Amino acid sequence: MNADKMSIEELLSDESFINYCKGVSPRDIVFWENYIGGNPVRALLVEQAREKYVQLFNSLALADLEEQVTRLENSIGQKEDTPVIQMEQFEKRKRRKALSLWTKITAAAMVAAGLFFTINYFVAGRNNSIKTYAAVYGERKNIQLPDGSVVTLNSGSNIKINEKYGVTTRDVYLEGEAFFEVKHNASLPFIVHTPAMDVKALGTAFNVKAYLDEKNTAASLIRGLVEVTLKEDNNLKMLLYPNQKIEWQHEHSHIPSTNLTAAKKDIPLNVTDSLKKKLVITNTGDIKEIAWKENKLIFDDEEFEDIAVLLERWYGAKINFEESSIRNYRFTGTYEKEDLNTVLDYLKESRSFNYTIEKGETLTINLSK
Amino acid sequence: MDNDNNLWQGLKQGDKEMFLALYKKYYHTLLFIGLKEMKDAHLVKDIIQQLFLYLWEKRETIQEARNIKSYLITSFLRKLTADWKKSKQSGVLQVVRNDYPEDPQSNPEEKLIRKDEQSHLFKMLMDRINELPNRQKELITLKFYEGLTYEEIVQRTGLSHRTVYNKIHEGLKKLKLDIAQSQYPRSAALFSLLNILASAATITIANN
Repeated sequence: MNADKMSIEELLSDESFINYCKGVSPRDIVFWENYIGGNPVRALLVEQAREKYVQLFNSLALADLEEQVTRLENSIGQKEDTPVIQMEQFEKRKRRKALSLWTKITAAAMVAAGLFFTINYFVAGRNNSIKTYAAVYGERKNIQLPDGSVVTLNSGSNIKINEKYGVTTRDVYLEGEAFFEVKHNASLPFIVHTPAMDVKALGTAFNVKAYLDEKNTAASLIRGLVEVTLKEDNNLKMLLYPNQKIEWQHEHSHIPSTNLTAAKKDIPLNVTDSLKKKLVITNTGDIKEIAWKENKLIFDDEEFEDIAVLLERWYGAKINFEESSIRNYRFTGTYEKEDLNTVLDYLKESRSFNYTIEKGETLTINLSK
Repeated sequence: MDNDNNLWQGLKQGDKEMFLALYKKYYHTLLFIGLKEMKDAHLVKDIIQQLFLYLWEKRETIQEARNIKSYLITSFLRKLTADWKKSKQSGVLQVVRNDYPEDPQSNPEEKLIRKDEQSHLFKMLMDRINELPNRQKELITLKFYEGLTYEEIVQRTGLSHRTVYNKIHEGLKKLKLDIAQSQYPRSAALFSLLNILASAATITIANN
C-alpha cells in the first residue's frame, strides 16, 4: 500500500507500521523514520497514528491487568464470597493444559466451602435466580464456578447454575459439550444434568457431550470416579472409571443410528442385551474425547453430515449440502489450527466434491459434486 | 531494588496489598516474556497466575531472593517449560532459556506502558473497545496487545487474511481514534513541527 495515502486506521492496520511503533524491527524502524524525514507533510499524521497505537496498547494492557488482578484476588480466596469468574475467553487457540492450577487452590476452596456452609444457613431458599454461561459457535470459554471448579465450554454450548450452587448443591445444567474439572468436596456432590443422563462426581475431571441437535449423549471420564444416571432408562445407575466413555442414544431419536454401529473399534464392556441398541460403554483413550479442549478437531471415520455439524460449531460457519449423496462420505483426520478452507481442501483430496464460499455476516459453505 | 525487597517482605508477612503490588509491577514483564516463548496469551496468563498463587501459598516458607525480578522471571520460565512438557503437545515452543540475565532488559512492549499517566484516557478508550463486536475486539487485542502478526492471527482464528485485516480496520474506524483527542497530540504536533523544521534544515544544508 502506498504510505502517502494511508489514513490513521490504515497506518495502524499495517504490520510494518506497528513494528515501528513498538520499536521491534530495525528494518521497519528505518523505513518509517526515513518516511517521516522525507515527507514532512505527513509527519503529523504519522506521529498521531503512533500515539494512537500507544494509547490502544495501554488501554488493552490496563484492562487486562485489572482483569488479571481481580482473578488473582478471587483465587487467593480473601473475598467474602466467591463469584463466578469468567476466565480468559479463547477462540480456536491451543488450550494447552492450564487447569492444573486449580488443583492447587484446594485450600482456598475449603475456606470458601466452609463459608458457604455458614451462609447456607441464612440464605438457603432465598433468591433462586438462574445464571447462564454460553459459548457461541466458533468460540470456547473457560468458566470458574464459585466453588473453584472449572468448566470449559465447547462451541455452541451453555451451562446454567442457580444461586444455590456451591451453597446447598452443585447442580449444573448442560446443553452441548463441556469439560469439567471438579473441586473435591465430599459433602456437596457435583452433578451435571442433561436431558438423557445425570453425571455425578465428587472430585474429578470428565467430559459431557449433550448437544440437542445430536442423537447421542456421552460422558467420558479422565480422572476420578463418576456415577451416571440414565434418566431414560428407569434411572439406571452405572459407575464410570477413568478412560471410559458412556454413550446413550436418545430413545425418541428420529435420527438414524449410525454412530453406534460405527463404534467397531471399541470394546463393549458390560452392555446388557436389552440395552444394546442404546447404550455403549467403551474404553477409549482420553485423546479424542477432550481433543476439542486442546483445540484439535478430530474425525474418526465419520460421516460428512456429522462432520459438517462439527465444522459449523468449530468455525461458526453454515454448511449446506446441495447434493445429498455427499452427506454419507466418510472421512478421518486430525486438524489443529488449519482454517476452514484448508480443512475442506484436505477432505476434497480424499473424496471428490466442490465447495463455494459465500461471505456474509456468517460464512456459508455450499457443497456440491 | 529496595522497593522490590519491601514488596517481597510484605508478601512473606502475608500483606495482600504488597503481594498484589508485586503482581501488578511484574505482570506485563512476565506476560511479554512469555508471549515471546509461546504465542498463547491464555496459557501465559494462567502460568503467571499459578506462579503468584504458589508464592502466596508458600509465602511463609519461600526463601529470600537476591534479585526479585530475575527470580520471578526464572521461576516463571521454568513453570512455562514444565507446563509445556506436561501437555505433551508437539508444536512451536521455541527454546526457553534456562537462565535469564541477572538484570534483564525490558521488553519493547513494556517500554510502551505509561504507568499511571492518562489512565482515564485509557479507560475511556477501553469503554469504546468494549462496545465493539466480540470478534473485532478479539482481533484488535491479538494485534495491538498480544502482538500477533496477521499470519499468526489467520492461523489462530481460521479467518482469511482479508477478513482479519478488514475487521481490524473497521474496528479501528469505529473507535474514532482521530476524533477523540487527548492532551497528548498537542505535544505530538509540537514534535512534528520540530521534525518538519529539522528536515527543512537538513534540506537547506543539503542544498548548500
